[in-house]
Amino acid sequence: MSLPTVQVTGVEKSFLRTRALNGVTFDAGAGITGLLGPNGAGKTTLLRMIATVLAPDAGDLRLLGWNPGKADERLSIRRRLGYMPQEPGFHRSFTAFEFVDYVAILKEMVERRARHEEVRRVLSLVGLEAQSGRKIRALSGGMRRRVALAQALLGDPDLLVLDEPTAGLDPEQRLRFREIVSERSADRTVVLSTHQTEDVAALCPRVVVMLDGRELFDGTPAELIDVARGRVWLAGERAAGAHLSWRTGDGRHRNIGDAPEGADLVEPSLEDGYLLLVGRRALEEEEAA
Amino acid sequence: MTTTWHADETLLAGYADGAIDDARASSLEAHLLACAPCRAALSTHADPAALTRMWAEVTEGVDAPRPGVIERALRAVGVPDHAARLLSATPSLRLSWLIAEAIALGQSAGHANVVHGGPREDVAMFGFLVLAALLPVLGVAFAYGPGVDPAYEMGIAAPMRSGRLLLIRAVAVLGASILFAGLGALAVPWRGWEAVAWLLPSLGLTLATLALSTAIRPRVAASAVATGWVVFAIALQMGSGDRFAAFRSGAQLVFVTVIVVSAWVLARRRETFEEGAFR
Repeated sequence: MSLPTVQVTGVEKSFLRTRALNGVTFDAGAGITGLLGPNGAGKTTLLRMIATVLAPDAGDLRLLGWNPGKADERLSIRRRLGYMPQEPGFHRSFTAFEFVDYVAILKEMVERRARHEEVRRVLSLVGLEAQSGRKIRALSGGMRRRVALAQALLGDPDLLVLDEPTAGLDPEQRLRFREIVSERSADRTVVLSTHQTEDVAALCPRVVVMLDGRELFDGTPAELIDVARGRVWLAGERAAGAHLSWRTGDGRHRNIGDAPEGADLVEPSLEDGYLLLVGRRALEEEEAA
Repeated sequence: MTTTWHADETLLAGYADGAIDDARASSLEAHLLACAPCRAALSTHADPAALTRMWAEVTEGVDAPRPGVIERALRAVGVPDHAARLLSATPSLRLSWLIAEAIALGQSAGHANVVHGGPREDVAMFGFLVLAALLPVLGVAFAYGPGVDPAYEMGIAAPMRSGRLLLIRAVAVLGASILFAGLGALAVPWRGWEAVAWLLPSLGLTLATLALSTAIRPRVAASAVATGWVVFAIALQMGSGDRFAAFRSGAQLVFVTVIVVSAWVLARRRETFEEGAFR
């Protein structure tokens, strides 16, 4: 059996007094692994490490079988890596084409014609061929994110690291994104973070829920849904024992928590499982404090 | 419009092989635009590989974006297209930066020219020399690095060596500064070699900034070097009573030493640029 593409073992990272990662351990092989978690859970810090732009303070990191702490091995990783940061920065005076071309040069694509063909290919993949000649500063936020995704796809990398790739995309663009990423995931490794549980449900055979700098859950979306099985019910009002409750479109309350006897249980969603997991832990920590 | 004739096989084959004259080729091309059957017939004569190549050339010719002013200027002086693109993304090589630099040096040297022979000529000349040595340091500070290059995070995750990128940009920034300062020196020809006495200090300070950047962020390194340079120039002047002490032969020797030491440090520590946040 081949080694996982991404191996994270007991990794820790602090920024001044803030501990961003607190001994996180997980691995990811071919396919899409989704990182879910609230803001400040450590998802971005972890993804920046997997993208070789940040070093861990402690713990072990292996990417594509190499150690990113060693210069020559880090270079080998970067040659097979595509990375879309959470807040991608752009040279705004460049056109979309020029910017992706610029990143292609940084990715060691020197021969102009082949490079331009590759740039056209990735811009076409993200549906930006018609906007390729427009200045970045004239593009909408969603289009800029697609430019950022396009540069990550350059060279068809073996390891694709995407931080909040669907933020700011409209529903149609999100579907297109799912199509692009799922097509590439059969024999490649994609690690993405998102706040959108629907993206995870639609895309990821594997999900890691993070909270307070460590993994809280590691399993399949079905297993995450099972966390909430028998614990989601509908009622006319907010139930006393519910961790979370909200009024739905039909006027009834969807309650998540310890269901009372005879409750009108419903099929849980991935979001229910996630909310229950994160909410329960937050409640436990609150009680412990 | 309906076409009344069709190209025969011999003509199409000749066209596909490039064997017919330009007049007949132009006539046929005009006809092909309006005649689908002839276009279809032509495709049977064309080599698919050649068609693919030709299509790629056409796409490249039509779609390739027209680069910006800086990029075009760099290409015009023989810089390869990929290097020109890397340089055109340099914040301190933007047109606005270069114009500001040219104005600052032009004004400084022009002032020395205007007050020529007067009591303020030496003061103006001193200002020009200090500025000419200082500007490339500021340029290097804004050439590459976190907080300077907006695409730094995407760049650092790419395999191109950061040290190489920084050096390419630093050389271009230094080259532009030397060009502007050299033109400024032409405004004070009567000062002889003194008009270019900024050259070794500017090389030394730029290399010192790069060498320091192996340990701290380029902007912090540049701030330290720039402050050190101004203090050095003023302190030497006050200590010796000679306004141009920082540009005399003794000081020039110091800068030769700075150049050698900085080059050595850069060569020894160049790998630290590749570590990015891993250092």
